[in-house]
Amino acid sequence: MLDIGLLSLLMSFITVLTSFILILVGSKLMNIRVIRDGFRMVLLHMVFLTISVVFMVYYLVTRNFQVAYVAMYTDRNLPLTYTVSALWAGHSGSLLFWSWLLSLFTAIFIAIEKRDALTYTAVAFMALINVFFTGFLVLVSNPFLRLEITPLDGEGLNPLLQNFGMLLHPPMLFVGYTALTIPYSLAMAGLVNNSEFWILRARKWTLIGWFTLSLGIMFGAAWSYVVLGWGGYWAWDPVENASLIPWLISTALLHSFMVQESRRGMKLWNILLAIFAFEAVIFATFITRSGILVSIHSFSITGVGPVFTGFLLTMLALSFTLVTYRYESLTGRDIYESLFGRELSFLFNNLLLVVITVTVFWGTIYPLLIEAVTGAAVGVGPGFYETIFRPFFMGIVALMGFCVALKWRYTEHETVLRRITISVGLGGLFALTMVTMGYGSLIPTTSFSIAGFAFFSHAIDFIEDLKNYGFKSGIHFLEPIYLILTKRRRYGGYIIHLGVALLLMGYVVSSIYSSSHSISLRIGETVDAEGYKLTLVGIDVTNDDVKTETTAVVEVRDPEDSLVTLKPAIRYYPKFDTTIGKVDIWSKPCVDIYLILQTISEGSARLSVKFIPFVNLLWIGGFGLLVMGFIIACMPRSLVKRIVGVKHA
Amino acid sequence: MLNMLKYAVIIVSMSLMISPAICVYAENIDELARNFFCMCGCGILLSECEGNMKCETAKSMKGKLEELVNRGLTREGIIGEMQSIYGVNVLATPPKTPSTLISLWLYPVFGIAIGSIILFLVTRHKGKKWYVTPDDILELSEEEITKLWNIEEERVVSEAETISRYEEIFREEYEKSRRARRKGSK
Repeated sequence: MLDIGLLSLLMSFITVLTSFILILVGSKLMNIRVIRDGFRMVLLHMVFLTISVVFMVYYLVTRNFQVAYVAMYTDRNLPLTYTVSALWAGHSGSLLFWSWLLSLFTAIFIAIEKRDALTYTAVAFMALINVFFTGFLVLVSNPFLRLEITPLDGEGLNPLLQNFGMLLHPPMLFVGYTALTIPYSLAMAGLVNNSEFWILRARKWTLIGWFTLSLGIMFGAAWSYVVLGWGGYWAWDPVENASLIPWLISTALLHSFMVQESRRGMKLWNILLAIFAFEAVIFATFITRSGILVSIHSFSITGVGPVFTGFLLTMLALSFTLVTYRYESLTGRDIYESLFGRELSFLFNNLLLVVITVTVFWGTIYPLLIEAVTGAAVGVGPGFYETIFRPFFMGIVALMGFCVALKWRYTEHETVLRRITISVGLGGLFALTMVTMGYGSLIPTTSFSIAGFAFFSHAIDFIEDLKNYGFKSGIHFLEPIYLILTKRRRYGGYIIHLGVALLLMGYVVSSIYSSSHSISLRIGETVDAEGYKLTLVGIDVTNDDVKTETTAVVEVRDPEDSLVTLKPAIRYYPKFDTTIGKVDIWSKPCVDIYLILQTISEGSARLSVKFIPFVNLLWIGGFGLLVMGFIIACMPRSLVKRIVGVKHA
Repeated sequence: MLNMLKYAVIIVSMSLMISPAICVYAENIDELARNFFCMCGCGILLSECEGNMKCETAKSMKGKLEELVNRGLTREGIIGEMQSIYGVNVLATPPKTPSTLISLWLYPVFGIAIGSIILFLVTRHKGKKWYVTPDDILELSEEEITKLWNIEEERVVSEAETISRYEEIFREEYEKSRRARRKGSK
């Protein structure tokens, strides 16, 4: 039977290959008509891939078990939302989804960017990347593969993946990965055309990639936090590390862009960061999908390793050939003017970010290399990363504070000293407050001081900027908002910085001060844990088509006498022969009470209760301030002018 | 006086930052289990391998830990004992031997050292050229930035330029072929 999904996939491969050739030939011949035909082919490629995706979703929703992918990742009991999410649950489906996103981004890129040689060449590179992905889908990993015998029911989606996180975390990561291919393509186009303008266009795409990647990572952290056995919000698992690497590189890139914009320096460095951000994206896919490293997040392991390694190395070789070819024009040395200029602090920021990137990368592949060289199995777990990452994280947050205390180009010594003195003093007082609350050991005190220093340094810069803003009408309560909108790039970044400072505090306190207690309770019995009274009210057992759920109903009363009923459960899925613990959390402003049901026996339950302090800082910083900062930084000029008024904008 | 006060604030704050308040943590099985991987092949910490409630390996390893704690072994003693039973790959944190120090633990130090040397080399050249403040760049068009960047010869070929170049090439080709035709007819 003719499969329209497969046919469309095949057509998408042919059209993207044709578009690549046409744009290449058109650029060589300087023939705009040929290039335009190439662009039309790119749009056609997007249409074909959309049809493929629509058909795959249709097969999933209609439970067409003749399609092997559908049979493998869905069953008749799977709810509709998770049925759609099965599109990115497996290997070939997720690559189809990624490829489609890339085609969509390419189409948007063509629609909004200026039509010139830079855009043509960048589109050629994007087409080349999608030649690989669609070619891979057609030749190696066909998502529309049919089974000879249609099963009555599918194998179903792993119960661990049936969570809200599945609807948000993977798509966000894929959008981030896809968006980061655009700065790479633009960087390559810049090399081909010997143009610096690539950075002006790459900035917004890098920001989109960075933002969606941040959200993807945060959604993943929130998901991992509520899934028992995934090691909390961050477990330093190879797959988690692999998603962190492009994030770290793109963070460095977003900062170093500014030095090139203002001084036309760091040209080579920015090109290298764009290349490695893209390579890190391919590496992340390779780690996730190859199963080469043991991970709790590898749900579909395939033999894609050699193909992806080949692609990774080919693109690296191509990129470095172009870098070598244009090396002469990339040696802009004009980076800084004074030791007390903001530009130099950006260099240190890049140094710290790159070193931590390399360390995370090295720690991730270390077990693999050691096993290949010595044959011995070695594991690199959270202990290593936490030892290394904490001081780096503190260093980065401290540098944020120093950086904003400095002005562009040059700052008077007195100004720097005044700003730093006040910030350090207030930061110290802030840390003192936390010490009085009982968080007084070395690492938390240091991180509170640093976070406080960074916060006050930003606040001082904002206040001084407000003074210089130049409103003639006197103090007006809207002035701070006008200032933030007018200098939205700066203040969007500052808000994100504050989010990062909160992340530091949340990460340090929650990882150091969390405590756990194992308790056994009979029905009606009450025990005390850290001032909280836990009473087992009852045990419920429910059955449905897919699982048996045993729930412990526990009343938790806090020292202030507030009462909450928590219902941790053990779920048994007979089809998968899997038992999964469902935690229940009482999230208070300063502490999370995290209740796990371990075992049930006649009229009693064994529970584990964890007290995780200040974990909410992670969500406020990682979601709230991040989103707010991004929205401000990306606000269009026309909207700002309308709000602030032409005079001020 | 004001300066004295400033320095006093700095000193107090700095000493606050480094004051090592002693914190004693309860050494329970769950905390100890954070030092080991579960050997069931899941690749996660022993303390976390409770998501799969049926992990017999985790149960047995935690039982072993409990036994070692009851024997009164120190934390280091327990780690050594677990390593001798399950092998070096049970350790969640690689031991600090000379080879792992060089190949893993000191890696960030090498990175910082190499990076600092590169930074030093790069920052030997100071320059006063300044084109545009990054805060303002959002308000500028590419043409305005071209002027600010002082690019005399912009190499990015616009679409209009491509068309005119194409027409130029086409005209040259046409002229060539016409001349060739004339020669041929003569």
